[in-house]
Amino acid sequence: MPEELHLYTAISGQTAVFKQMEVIANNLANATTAGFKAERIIFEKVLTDERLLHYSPNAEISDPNGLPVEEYVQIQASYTDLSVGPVENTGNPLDVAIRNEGFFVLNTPSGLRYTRSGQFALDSQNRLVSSEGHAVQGLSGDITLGAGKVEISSDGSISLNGEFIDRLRLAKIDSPFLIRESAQKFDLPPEGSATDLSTVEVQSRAIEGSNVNTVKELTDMIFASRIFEALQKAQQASSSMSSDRNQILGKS
Amino acid sequence: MIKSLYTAATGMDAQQIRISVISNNIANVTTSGFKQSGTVFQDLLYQNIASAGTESAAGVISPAGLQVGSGVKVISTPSVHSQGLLEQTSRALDVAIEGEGFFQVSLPSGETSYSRLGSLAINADGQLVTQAGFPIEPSISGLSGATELRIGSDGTITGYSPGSNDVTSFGQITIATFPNASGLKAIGQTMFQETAASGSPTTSTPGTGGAGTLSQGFLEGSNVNIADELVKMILAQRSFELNSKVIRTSDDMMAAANQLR
Repeated sequence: MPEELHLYTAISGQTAVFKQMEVIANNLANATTAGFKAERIIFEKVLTDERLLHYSPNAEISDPNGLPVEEYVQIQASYTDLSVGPVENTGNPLDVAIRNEGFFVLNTPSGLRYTRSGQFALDSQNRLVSSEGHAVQGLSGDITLGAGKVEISSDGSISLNGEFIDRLRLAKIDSPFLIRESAQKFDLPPEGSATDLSTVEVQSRAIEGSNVNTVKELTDMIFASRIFEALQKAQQASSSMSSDRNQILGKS
Repeated sequence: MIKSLYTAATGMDAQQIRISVISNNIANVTTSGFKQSGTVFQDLLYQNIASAGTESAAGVISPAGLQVGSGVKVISTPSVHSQGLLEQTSRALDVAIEGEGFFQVSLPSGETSYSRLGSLAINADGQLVTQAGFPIEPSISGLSGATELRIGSDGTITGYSPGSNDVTSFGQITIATFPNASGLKAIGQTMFQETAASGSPTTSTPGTGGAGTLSQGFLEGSNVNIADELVKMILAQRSFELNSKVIRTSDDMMAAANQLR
């Protein structure tokens, strides 16, 4: 029996758990980042590369059809958990939380980007911008405000000193496989598209907190570390089997 | 694996900055004219391990990529310019701004700074100054020995000059407003300075052009909300612990991997 292959199975599992830990670490690091959406991963089973079987010492003597199928595990992909985070009141008139679905649209040098993070500010040209400085889009482009009292009502209309300026543009994205960028921005996946929402529901003077469920992440982390230990045991067993085999075969 | 250690370290770092900001807010809970700061977090760059849209098998386009993030950072600590509580002091030279705007203060360097602290005084030359002795702009002088000073809601200062029975007008306090007050730079002594992010100030008469009005005999208290700050402190502490737990678990896993033979 090619025990080394069991070893590879265990190592593939440990590599996947390592990756999972990195994702958990990022989720937990962003447990208090406004507008952050937790990242989830999909594990997948992959079959062994058949070449490995051919190189095994038993390849010639066993029936090729009877060879055990070795399985490997790997992380196939990650996707974004788009559930709504808790709404926190901040009292800042330029903070906006989206009530249901949709994303704010930002105009960045590399094109339109989407975010749920509503911690906005005004830049020196009086435009409404994200915390990184990218212009937030209204129905008629950049939103230019000025000194005075800014009010954002629940339907997304923005007024300055009681005078209507523009309405926030919110877009719906049809895929959960968004491409993440820093500062809670998302880009569309290659085959995804965004459509503007006709009805907008927002709450001003509030922000949407991170949707990271710390209890879930911690449980996942404990689970990951236990799986890791179990795989470690499997490796030790596999390796001691190899060493037993070498001893027995070596003596004869 | 090493990556999750660094990721968790960025989380601890960010929470530490947050605790520093919170402790400064709480320390200034009784500082008149103080504006609390918040902390804005931002996730860091993502490592693209597999890109969405690549061919995973002949003719099969993978719908999802694999991205692993590298943590969090504090991008800004904007000051929150909400109105603080007005405290009655009944002192003639205490003035609070109700609404938006800042008093303009000339610094010895010649620059102008902006403050909400309206605890004013008259210096030896009869000029209107802050408690630290910096003159208020536009300069208002001739106040030596003046009695029954009145500061109107529009900033006009009137009173009786020594030996005169007629009401004299000494000048008018104007208020500066900014497009983005959160972008101002705090320089200590409850003063702020203009930055590229705050935009240029607009000077207006109190009560016009979006500027607030003045209330004599009141001081604006700190706008720090203690209950809020304490909740944030608990959150920051727990997040810090969570991140340290990630480091411990990663370390345990690495220690186990090191025993591999």
